[in-house]
Amino acid sequence: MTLLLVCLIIALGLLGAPLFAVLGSLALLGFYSEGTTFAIIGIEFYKLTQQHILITLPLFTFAGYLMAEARTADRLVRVARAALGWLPGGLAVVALITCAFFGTFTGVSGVAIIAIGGLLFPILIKELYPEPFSLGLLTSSAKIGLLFPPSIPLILYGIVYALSMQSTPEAMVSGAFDIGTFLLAGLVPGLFLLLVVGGYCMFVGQRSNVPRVPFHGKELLSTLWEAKWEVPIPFVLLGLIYGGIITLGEAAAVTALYVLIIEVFVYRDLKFFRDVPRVVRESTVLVGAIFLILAISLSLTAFFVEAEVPQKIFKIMKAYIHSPLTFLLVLNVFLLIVGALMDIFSAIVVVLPLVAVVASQFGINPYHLGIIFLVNLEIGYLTPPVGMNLFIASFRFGKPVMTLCLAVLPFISLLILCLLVITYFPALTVGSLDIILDLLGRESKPALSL
Amino acid sequence: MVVRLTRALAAADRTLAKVEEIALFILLMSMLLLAVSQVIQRNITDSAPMWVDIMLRHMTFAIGLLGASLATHADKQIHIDIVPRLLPERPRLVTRLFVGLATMGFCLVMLRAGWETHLMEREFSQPLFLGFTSADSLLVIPIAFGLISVHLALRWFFDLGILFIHRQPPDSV
Repeated sequence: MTLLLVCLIIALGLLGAPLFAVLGSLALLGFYSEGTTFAIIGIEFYKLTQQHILITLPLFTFAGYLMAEARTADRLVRVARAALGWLPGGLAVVALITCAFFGTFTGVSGVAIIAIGGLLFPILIKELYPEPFSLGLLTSSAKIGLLFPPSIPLILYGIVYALSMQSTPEAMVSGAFDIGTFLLAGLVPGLFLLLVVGGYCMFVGQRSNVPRVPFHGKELLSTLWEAKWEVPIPFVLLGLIYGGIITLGEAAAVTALYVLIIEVFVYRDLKFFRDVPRVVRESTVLVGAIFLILAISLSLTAFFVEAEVPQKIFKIMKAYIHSPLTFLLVLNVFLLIVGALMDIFSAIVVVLPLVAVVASQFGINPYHLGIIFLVNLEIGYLTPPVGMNLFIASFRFGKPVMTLCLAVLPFISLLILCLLVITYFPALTVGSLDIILDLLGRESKPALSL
Repeated sequence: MVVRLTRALAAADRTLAKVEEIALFILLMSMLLLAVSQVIQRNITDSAPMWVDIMLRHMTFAIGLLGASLATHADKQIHIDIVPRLLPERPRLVTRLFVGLATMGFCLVMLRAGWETHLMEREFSQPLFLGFTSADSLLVIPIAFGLISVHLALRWFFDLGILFIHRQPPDSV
């Protein structure tokens, strides 16, 4: 009977029931079968009020949406073009960098495709970049920004990982997982992705004989001056947090207020009473959708922990998988499939609680695991049937989804290549993280990986 | 008659969403100012009142759940819609009605579960900030699921209208 109900709930999910209802129904069924009162779900929900870091979700999302609604994209493109336009494939590199910057702050949905894609696609075509390349580049670049702080998926991963591990004995083994440290773990892998995709852009630019723009120092200075309030945001933010001046939660508040002030009162791109309520609505809708599945998944995780589901999965896997390397290979394949079926937030809250416990038993470093997890899901965003970016780009550029599927293939191949490097060279993540922590004078975390 | 009823319900749906938007705007702006004032105070006096931090965390909780209600109104809840994408319009609508009913049922169970949690907490309620207690804060859960249920019910009614009388509600979303 229980199995039948589980199948029915999953079928409802495939038919389009909201994920919160699917996960919540599974949790209710689990608690019912164990004879536990449903009020436990309210208690699990309420645990979220103990999470200091959660305040960053609405505030960073709000800041990102403000920048997306203002003319930040125009200004950043001008700066990047003046700085990098002289390179072979300069404009493509500009598109890559600005999309990644936007991806960091808006992190999700297709805001970068909407904001920058529309701006740069006609220029890329005019400058003789091949159309499939231009489409693929603009569709896939924003997600690279997800590895840089303060991207929302990075923060969400940190929250869910910490919550998943707090009640397990593995938490004692893996040491204290620190979200602040995790936010730095994506820096070098993120730069690596940028370098590889940037290299490909330069190759295509050269091959297609795209004319290069001469470098003008004056123009760079004038564009920098125009964007002087926005360009330093990520650097100042990191400086304040890792300089120990403010906490991550405080940084989110300061960033959101700062962006609000510059976009409304300095640049005057947005009107406070006309535009800001709309931005609040759009950002809180996204936050609400994430928050609800996060809260519900806590209940489901509580049931999984009570029923020792991760331990059972680990026992089954242990019979077939004997090394962490094989586990990571299987994990990559599994996450690529998950990424193709679910959006990044659902995948984090649904899959991570199970994967985190199993991975820690295989001795995988939690920071390394996090970066592997996010890169996989980035790639998933570009793969059908649920690759959200494909649909947004199809709508934005007026091209069939199939055209976009083909256009992103070279980028998917490159990203999979990078994923393999990130997976099997943990030094790229863990080693570089140790160096960054040393440079910042922070205590380095124990590296358990591989 | 049905058309007039649909119009009235669509207006009610929009009004409810507007109230939620205003509440979210006030909450987010207050949170922003409160959090920044806390940073300033902590850096000037090296201390900040403990209740501000607690209040901020509970405001985040309220924003998350109210935002979820607004996401339901805007039909922007996260879902895996593989099958509906492949269906023609009419079967898709029928599926949507069926799924909507099941989701409403779940939300009503959650409303009750949230209320039970509130009642349980009332017995051991702790003061949090400015006279608010943990039991008061827990009320957000049944309220949010109540609002989500109302939005779902209205959308279900509109879908029914589209299916049988082929009429969209005026600017319902």
